[in-house]
Amino acid sequence: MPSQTDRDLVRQARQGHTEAYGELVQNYQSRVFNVCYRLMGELREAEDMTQETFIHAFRHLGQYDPDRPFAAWIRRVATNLCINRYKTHKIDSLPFDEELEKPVPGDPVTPEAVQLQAEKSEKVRAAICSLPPVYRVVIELRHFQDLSYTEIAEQLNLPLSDVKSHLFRARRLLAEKLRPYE
Amino acid sequence: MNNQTHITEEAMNEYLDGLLGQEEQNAFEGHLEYCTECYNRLAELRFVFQAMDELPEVMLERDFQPEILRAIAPAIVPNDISVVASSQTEKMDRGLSSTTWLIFIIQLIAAGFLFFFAIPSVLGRIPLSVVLQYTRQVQMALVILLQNSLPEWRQLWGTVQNFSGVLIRFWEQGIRLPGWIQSSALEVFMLLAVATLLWVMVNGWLLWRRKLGNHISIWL
Repeated sequence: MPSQTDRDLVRQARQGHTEAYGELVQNYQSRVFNVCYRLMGELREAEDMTQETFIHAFRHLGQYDPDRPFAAWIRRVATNLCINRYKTHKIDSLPFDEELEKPVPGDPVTPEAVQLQAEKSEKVRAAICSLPPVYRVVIELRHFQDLSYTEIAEQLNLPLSDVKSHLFRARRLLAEKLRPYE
Repeated sequence: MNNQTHITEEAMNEYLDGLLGQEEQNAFEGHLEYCTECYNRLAELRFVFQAMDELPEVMLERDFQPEILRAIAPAIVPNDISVVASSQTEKMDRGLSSTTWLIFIIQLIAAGFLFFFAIPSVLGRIPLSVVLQYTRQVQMALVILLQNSLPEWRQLWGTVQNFSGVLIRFWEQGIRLPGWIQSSALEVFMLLAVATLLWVMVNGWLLWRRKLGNHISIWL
């Protein structure tokens, strides 16, 4: 169940209270940005998609089911818009922007550990970005948005067998790409 | 799962996703005890799962809220969830790129030629001399209009006039084509005009689709 606060904020936003929607943006912009960054692989694109996600979501707040978590819905919107961007821009591979690999709070504190963690994250992100778009999307939905195979199939409007095949293939490709860094 | 058969990729993934039943899981783990190949394949996949789990969130260094609120504010109808479509708010803080402007201007010029030359001469079957006269009159009208505004426009217009003079001479002399093409200059020009029209229409459609893309189809 979503928190009462989210439900209230959505209700107010639907009535035209932009401050309420602003609060939702504050609460979820980081999560949405991370979805976009994993899917687009580039800072500027991820920023654009984050903004587009919130604007699009605002215009389609009527489609949001208040009984479900807002976080999941807004991440789903972000994913769909990124998929759309792949299609309209015919994106097959992504440049990877390494500048954002900085330590986050709670990471190891020694300089060596920080450096090691940053390098590892960078390589994992680069590996994800090198996947074909549909593989990247199923990885995002399964590993980062925690959707089941069936939910992914529904969201992507693909047969379950295709989802499994894409997911398993994507994982195997990632395994191959990450192997040298084990 | 017998001794000779290796674990399938599907079973391996479903095992890591926690989707195998107890019986299948026992058989799976039993196989791993003696099959090094499957054990190694599983270890590789497990590493991928671990890498995904440990991938940290990137810290956001800017606040999108002000820009987003600016973008949605003009679109709101108070006390109603419906919004007014506003193309200006689709892309925030971003005008058209110089390339887009260039394409737009070229298309505008192409459309102008189409309007002043091709359509009157062919659809209305007006003689070429009349079309040219008509075009010159339009030019004169524009000259007067521009001369009455900014003097800088005169120089620019002079250039445009020279250019159009060249084009008109080109038109009057006819277009030289290889002998095997049995087409008049007018037909060639019409062909170019139709191609231009199609080009403008397709570009317009693509821009429209890009703008509305999010609302049309969102799936791969």
